[in-house]
Amino acid sequence: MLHYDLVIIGGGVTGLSAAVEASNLKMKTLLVEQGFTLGGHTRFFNEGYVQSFVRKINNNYVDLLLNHSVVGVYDDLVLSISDGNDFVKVQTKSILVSTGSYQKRISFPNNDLPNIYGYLTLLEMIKLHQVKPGNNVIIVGDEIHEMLIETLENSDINIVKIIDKTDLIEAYGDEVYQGITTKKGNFQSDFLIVSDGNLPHNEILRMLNCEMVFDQEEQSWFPKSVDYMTSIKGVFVAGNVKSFKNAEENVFDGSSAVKAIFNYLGEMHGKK
Amino acid sequence: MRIKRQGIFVFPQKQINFTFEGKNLSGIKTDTIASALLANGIFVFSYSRKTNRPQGYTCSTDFCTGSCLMTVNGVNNVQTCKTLLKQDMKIERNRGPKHVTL
Amino acid sequence: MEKNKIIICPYEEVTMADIHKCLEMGFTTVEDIKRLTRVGMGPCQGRDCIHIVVDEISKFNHIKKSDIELMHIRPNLANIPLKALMEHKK
Repeated sequence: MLHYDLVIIGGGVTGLSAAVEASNLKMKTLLVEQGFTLGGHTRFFNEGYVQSFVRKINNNYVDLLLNHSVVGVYDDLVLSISDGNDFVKVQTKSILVSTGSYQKRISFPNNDLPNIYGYLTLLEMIKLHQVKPGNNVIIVGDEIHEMLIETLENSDINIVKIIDKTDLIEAYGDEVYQGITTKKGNFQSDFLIVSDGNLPHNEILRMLNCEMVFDQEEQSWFPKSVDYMTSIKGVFVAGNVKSFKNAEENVFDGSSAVKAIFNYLGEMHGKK
Repeated sequence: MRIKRQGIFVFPQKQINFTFEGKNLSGIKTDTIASALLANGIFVFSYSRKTNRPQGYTCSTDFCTGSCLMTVNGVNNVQTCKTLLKQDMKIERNRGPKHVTL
Repeated sequence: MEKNKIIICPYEEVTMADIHKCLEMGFTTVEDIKRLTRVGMGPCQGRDCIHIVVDEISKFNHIKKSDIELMHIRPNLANIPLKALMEHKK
């Protein structure tokens, strides 16, 4: 069993900012990220962005564990972590859940056809691999990011149409997507992007039975927290899984949460 | 297809050869298997078990739907979204029942 | 709208028609529908699909979404092969 002062679950910008603060405060920290890169949604920002955080992390205090998922969390703050080949057990004094958010799917007939992409999947293809599935696209959804439009334009992809999800009737195609039928007519394109907002990655919090609150605007469950601490002692939360914010606000959230954790650990130590 | 304009990233030169269902194709050094297939215009990654519907690449590292699983060098259920492309890889649509492990 | 062409879960191949059949049979909870259709039991563990199921329960039974209990989350969050656990035992 490994032992840490703090385990940060999620290596997006919130987790990275938290790791920087934790290393400044000399806390023995483990940062776990299930992807093979750090940065989460900001991995699409310019290349220096993620590096600017990683550079400031002191390896003497912070261990980075990529490609690993936290598969279990228990009341006594023990975590089980795996990449499919190993099984790591960690006992920690505090947990920061910074698992972020993910793209929402829309349901419509034939929504599983190849060449229908969530906007993040497509951004990854374009920005990390210089690949595009075609030269023209239709976008469906109610929440479309500026970065998506900008990226499409910079990649010479023509936006044929942007459709409200309430107007969409169905998608059609033989082996792959070919077009959509809407209340305003039929449209065709090489591929389709679904862009309809996000949901918080709150499984870890629900596994721990943290008290959650339903947000009417986002139509989703977020954790109740006071000073970044959830209803479970020693379990803290920051970033988009706490409430949807932009990257800059999440950077502040991550470092502030660790300051709160530092004070909490000091109090716990003082009580002994 | 590959994006020709440079953008923010430098377009790497090293070519990697592989086969898909017997066809000779090529990708580049930083490709995952999924991105190499998309670059070559291959969009159908698998077929659903019960209803035989064509499935494409719909995931990223956010959540897995098992749609990108393929048989690589004889090994079934390889997650092509995460696996880097290597020289002379033999890639086929999944030969066994779909099963996702971490 | 062809409900059997709306794929709620591409892994377990659950369609909107399956969800509606459960609702018409009188099931009102996410846990019940999960057990009947296997929705949410695939590798995404409900991340992709449960919000759609909640939507449908809400519309069909006229219940507020905030009153609909989500599925229980238990360890492990992903499939782990036994060999990984055995390595750990060593």
